[in-house]
Amino acid sequence: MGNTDLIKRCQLGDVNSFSELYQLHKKKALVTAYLISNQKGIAEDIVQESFIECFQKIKTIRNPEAFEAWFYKILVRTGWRMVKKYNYFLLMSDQNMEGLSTTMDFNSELDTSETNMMVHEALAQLSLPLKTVVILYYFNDMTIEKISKVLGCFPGTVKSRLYNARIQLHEVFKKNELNVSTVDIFFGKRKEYGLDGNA
Amino acid sequence: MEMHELDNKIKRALLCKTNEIEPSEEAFRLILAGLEKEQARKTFKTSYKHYIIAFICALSVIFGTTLILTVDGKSSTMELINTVKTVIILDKSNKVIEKNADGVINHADISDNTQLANSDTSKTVGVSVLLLQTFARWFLFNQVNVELYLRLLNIERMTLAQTWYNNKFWHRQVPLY
Repeated sequence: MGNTDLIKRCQLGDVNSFSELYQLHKKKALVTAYLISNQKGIAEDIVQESFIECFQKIKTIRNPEAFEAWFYKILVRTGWRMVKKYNYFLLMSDQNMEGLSTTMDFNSELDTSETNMMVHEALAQLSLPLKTVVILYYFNDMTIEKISKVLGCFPGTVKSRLYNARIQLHEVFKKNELNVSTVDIFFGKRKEYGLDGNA
Repeated sequence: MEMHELDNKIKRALLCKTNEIEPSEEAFRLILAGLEKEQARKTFKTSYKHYIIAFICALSVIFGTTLILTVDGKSSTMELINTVKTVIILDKSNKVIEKNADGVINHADISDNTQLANSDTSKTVGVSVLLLQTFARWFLFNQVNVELYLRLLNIERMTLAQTWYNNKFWHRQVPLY
């Protein structure tokens, strides 16, 4: 069943269609919420509240094609509200470090993990609006127009936010790249002495 | 670092996060429970609102009716008073006398001698008149009762209402009966 049919059935109050709709969007919604909040518990709460609101207000959708933008609008707003409420904004960097260190493979994916860590560290330093634009653009593959609909602002504002976010991320990368050589030396020495991660 | 390279790095890092979190099995059950809870809360809120609205409406109707009746009572009394040409009052020696309404006295003498007033008034007017000994405040305020009382007197050309009115609205004294 297509997304449009599901939405139309949901508008009639069909819970089974809502379940299917949830199954279709749950993964992406959860990861988006997780990227915004950086807390698994909070991310689950965001998704739950968003889907509850979605089911309650789905009757108001006139054009089912616009469902994704409409839904992510709810999700982003709920996410922002929850992040502000629980004040996890300041704790994001710590959580990122934790999450990444558990998946890090010292040998084969050292470079990738290091870069990812750097990206998440840089993202954590961005303000919520800039971070959200980055997430919607890079992770959800949304166009500038769609993001502007989700955030309820002009496309120019989205472009400017994206530009500022890139500049800030670039600066963080540049700073970190200066330390890369030091990290290389450190892990090089670890290998020399037989202290690598998989030993 | 080129922008293209930066874009790829950001994208890769964000996609990497998808492996870190998986939706829990009971998430949808929790959503349904949340929906039911919201529905119940909404129903309670709506019914509560209805009760409040109904109460306010009832209160408004009661207040409005009272106000209208009071205003009507006052205005109809005023109309009646305007038709008055002569009035019957008690003089200082407790005798009922008829006076011209234009030269009406603006103060009231208080007398409990209603029997004397009844007999003298009946004699003067020519019909049997019964003056109530006391007027409760609510009785005076009520338009119907005022009209009923005035009809009871059956006086077209004169009335005691002027005295009553003076007592009621000017001096707030007990009427002259």
